[in-house]
Amino acid sequence: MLARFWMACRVGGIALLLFAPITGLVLSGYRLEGHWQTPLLLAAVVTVGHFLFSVLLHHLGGLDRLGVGRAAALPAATIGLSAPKPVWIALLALLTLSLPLVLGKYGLSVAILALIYILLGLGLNIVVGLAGLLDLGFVAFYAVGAYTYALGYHYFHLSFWLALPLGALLAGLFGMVLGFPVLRLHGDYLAIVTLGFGEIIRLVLNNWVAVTGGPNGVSVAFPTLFGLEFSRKAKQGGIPIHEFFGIDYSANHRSLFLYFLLLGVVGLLILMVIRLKRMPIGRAWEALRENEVACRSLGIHHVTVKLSAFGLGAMVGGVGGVFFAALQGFVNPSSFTFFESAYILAIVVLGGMGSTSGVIAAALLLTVMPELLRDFSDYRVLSVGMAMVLMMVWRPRGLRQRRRPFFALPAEAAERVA
Amino acid sequence: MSALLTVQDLTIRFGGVTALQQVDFTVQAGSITALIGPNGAGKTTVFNCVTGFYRANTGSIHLHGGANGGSNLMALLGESLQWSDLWQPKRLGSRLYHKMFGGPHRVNQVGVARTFQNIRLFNALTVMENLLVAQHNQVDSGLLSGLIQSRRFRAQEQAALQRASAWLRFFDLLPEANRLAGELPYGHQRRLEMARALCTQPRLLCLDEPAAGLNPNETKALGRLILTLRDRFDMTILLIEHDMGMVMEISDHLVVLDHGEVIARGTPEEIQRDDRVLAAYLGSEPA
Ligand SMILES: Nc1ncnc2c1ncn2[C@@H]1O[C@H](COP(=O)(O)OP(=O)(O)O)[C@@H](O)[C@H]1O
Ligand SMILES: [Mg+2]
Repeated sequence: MLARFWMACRVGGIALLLFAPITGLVLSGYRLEGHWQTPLLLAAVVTVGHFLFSVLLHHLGGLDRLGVGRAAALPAATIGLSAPKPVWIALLALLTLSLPLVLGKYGLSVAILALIYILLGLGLNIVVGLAGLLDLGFVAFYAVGAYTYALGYHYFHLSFWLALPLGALLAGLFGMVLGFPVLRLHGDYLAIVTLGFGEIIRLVLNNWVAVTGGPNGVSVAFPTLFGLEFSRKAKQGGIPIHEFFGIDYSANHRSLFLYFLLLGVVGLLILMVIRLKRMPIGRAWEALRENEVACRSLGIHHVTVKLSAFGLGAMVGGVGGVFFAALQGFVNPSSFTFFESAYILAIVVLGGMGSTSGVIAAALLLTVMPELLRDFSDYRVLSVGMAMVLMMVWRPRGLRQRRRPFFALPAEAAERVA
Repeated sequence: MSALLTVQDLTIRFGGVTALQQVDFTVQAGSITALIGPNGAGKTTVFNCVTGFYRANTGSIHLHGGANGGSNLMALLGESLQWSDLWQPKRLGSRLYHKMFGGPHRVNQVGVARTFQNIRLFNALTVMENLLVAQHNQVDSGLLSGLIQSRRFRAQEQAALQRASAWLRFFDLLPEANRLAGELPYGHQRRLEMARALCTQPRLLCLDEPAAGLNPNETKALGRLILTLRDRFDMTILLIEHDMGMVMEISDHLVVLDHGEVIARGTPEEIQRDDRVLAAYLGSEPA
């Protein structure tokens, strides 16, 4: 118990170090003002939270069930993860949850964009990183998702919450329909066909003016939350959320809403991907990437397995698209060019094929850096290229290598080994 | 003894080359049958036909017994569509189905597993993962049950781990369970590939030159393992091998191929006395 307490204090200290400069120093005019209560309060919350969390964890054994326990704590022959320690998970959760407190409106929109790219990166990572299918037209599914919401709203007053699953479903369907004839192709051929598919979708959106509005695009209403609207005045027949709660109107509310929703979706996706990698289907994806002939000799139908990766990746792309439409309030085909596909692919390659944490880091790097270096925006593409070249030199397998799951041997078998 | 596999009249041509010419042979259940012959005789081609990677031009391949009382392995690969199918919707449906979903994986699912002359492992996966992939059809491979980690899913994963561990122990690979398959020494890779094939729970195991590249001691040990597979696990084995010492010692029945034709079949003693076999191996024309 005492050890736990000291551990909590140490974590609190780290939190203090972390939060002090972020929240403690406030720029007022040209002067820096110290607000020491905020970081102290946050650090105290972290300390107490960590202590309670670790005690609870110990008594409930709860995290094992989430699959985040340490190898030694798991029963024999289950999968012992080289999982990050709960401390890090808690810190990360705290950081992401408290980030909006320090970010302004602009910072928040960057954060939302970064989350969308994390989503897209993780989606494409399933297709390229895990299943090894080089997809150069991923943006097509992103577009399908965005236009599902935009056109659905325009013609049928489709709500955001319905558009979310529908966009995923439609994008997945597009992925399957494209995939079925195409996935018999290998490597380069597949890349070319997907590249073409991406362009076809964009051209259709551009030229089918009667339905899609062509280059003029379509505007989208902002999502509502249980009928509560985020605008100053009700436009969609609901109640504005600030009136409902009796607070002042702030344009930040809608960004906060999108941020937390996206955070939840990304968190869910990360959990999903972690599990997928240790499920038969995920293993089959990777096996197929390694050796297709061997896979077929083991009774695995390569077409359906590839199709599942392609469809699932496309679905994630579709969800990203719906969020993008909601964020922008407007979609037009110029957001879905080949450059976008290449950018998402760069995220996957830079992050290290198949590695979830690597892809997240790369997505953050490639979306936040250009925003921080606005003045150099002319060199955005150049810097991506530089990053890729540097990576090839220093870390040819990406920022993070995919770690393999570790299997603790059955106790009786382990005895024999000893 | 009853036949497990019958191959009849198998002929396959690649362009102008006739790789197999009316090949006929039977594999008895519970036997070790060896397929021998000089390089380029067509042994691997026979394997590719039996395991569904090649479609023979003519002939038939039948696997007897099993849950569905025998399978025509050629039909599992799917036949090409014909115009007359348009008037027979049922046959069209079945042909379309097999065309889309047929292939070597179906052959494996009815109980034929194989290894490859040039090893084909999943190099970037661990040894254990290689064996788990092989059990894809025996575990709960549904998306939902895995995502929510249902009780059934976890139980089946556990069972798969146990089976894999058992085979790893049999092949003396247990200490390597968490190493990458690609970084294993060559001899271990050969054994891992056998273990992986066995994890699909086949009735017929086809081994393509399992002793190639092994030293004499390893070859001897491998021979004993194959015998154990037959005796203790009731496995039927079809074996391609160049090491004559091992072949003559462990096989029950031999089939000799030369230039795509069967030139002899029989017990090891009979084959050793056969003039045509000697001629094929020594290269002289039979008188
Ligand atoms: N896919 C193919 N395309 C063309 N020729 C092939 C193919 N597969 C096998 N062959 C031919 O069949 C013959 C037998 O080869 P193979 O079965 O590999 O011999 P081995 O008995 O050494 O295993 C070779 O002469 C080869 O040219
Ligand atoms: Mg061969």
